Amino acid sequence: MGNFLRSTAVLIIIVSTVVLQVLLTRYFPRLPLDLPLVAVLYLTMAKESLLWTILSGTAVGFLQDSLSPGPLGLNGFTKIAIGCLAYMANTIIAIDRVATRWGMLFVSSLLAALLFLLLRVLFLNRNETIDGERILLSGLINACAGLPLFYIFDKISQPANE
Amino acid sequence: MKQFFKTRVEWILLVVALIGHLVLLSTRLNQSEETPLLRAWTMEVASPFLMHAVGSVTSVSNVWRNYVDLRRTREENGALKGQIEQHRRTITGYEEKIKEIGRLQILSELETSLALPSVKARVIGGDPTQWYHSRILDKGMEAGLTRDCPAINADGVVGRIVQVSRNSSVLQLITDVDSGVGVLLENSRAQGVLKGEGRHEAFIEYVGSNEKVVVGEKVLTSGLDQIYPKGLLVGYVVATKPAKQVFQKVDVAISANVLKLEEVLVLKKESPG
Repeated sequence: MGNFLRSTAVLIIIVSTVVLQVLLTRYFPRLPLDLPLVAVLYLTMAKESLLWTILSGTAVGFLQDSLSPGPLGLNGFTKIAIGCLAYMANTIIAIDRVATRWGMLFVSSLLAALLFLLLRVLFLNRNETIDGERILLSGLINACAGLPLFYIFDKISQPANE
Repeated sequence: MKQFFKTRVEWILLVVALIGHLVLLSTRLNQSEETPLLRAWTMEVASPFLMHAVGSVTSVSNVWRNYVDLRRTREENGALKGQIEQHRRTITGYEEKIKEIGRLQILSELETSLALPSVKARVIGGDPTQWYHSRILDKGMEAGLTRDCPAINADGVVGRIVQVSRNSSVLQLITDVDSGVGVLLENSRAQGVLKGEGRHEAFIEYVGSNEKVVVGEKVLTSGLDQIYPKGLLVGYVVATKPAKQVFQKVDVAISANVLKLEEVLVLKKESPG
């Protein structure tokens, strides 16, 4: 029961990252941050279960798509696919140190951006130009913001691991 | 080689989830005129949280400002600290109110001058992704908003409604990469389509290379897209790219500051008949 409650709390926090993201972009529209992606990656790393990646990716992606002008499915697919890649990477290299976590967040963020643009080209027939500078900046910001968030999430879910 | 999938179920779920999202992405559900029910519900559930959260952020920022002021006044005179703080807080509140009333007054004047049915709406959220330029508004179907209702402010056109739920809606800004506005240039009368660049700038497509476009010229809505009424100010020409083919590219500075939107006036669509 305790585990269930803690898991529910983690899920609520993950979903609340979408609300936080919406608030942040209201006050800082230029901020290229993807908090929900960070949250999905955290769950992937912490729970070491693809089920969590699929569930959180779907929930967070659906919320993001619902509150944006884009089509449904775009963010969900991106989050699950990148979460899955991070999960695979975690089975090969233990991503539990600051440097490896930072690297994983950075690379995942770049891949998520590229996958998002690729899906728009393939499924929405859009002509996308890759804004390398923005994607890199987004990777850096996500990686830097992700580390303290991972720490906070760790603190919240710690009792579950004991 | 480590095992990626602990159970067959995980593997099956992953494939089903990915295919499910791709199917969702390619279905006509996303292209329908009506906002899908599930999406509308999500917006409906999220909007009260956002409205309260915006209020909380404002309160927190006020508290922070007051704290800074408090420290300064404490050094000067401890006895007057509370009184000064109280006055300051009140003044800040009044100033905010005055500013808000000023903005609403401008919108009201605009509403009267346009003589079109319209609704004032407050911005309660930004875009939840880093890819689109949109805002979440506190008005929805209940206030008479529908998809494709144009939104303006005192400085010009800001965007159109793309998703609507009962009490909230998603406003696509004209700087969004997927946005398109039928425009014409004030002097040359050249017509084209204003496209967002996703970087708070925009450009006009399909302006013939033989058209003489002057820097500084006003860009107005043409009304041909049947979304924005004709003659609304969109921005000003800032540059023209040398014509290589049939069309030239015209860079536009958007007149409305879409980065700092707080309230907008949404023009209601007149129902046919």
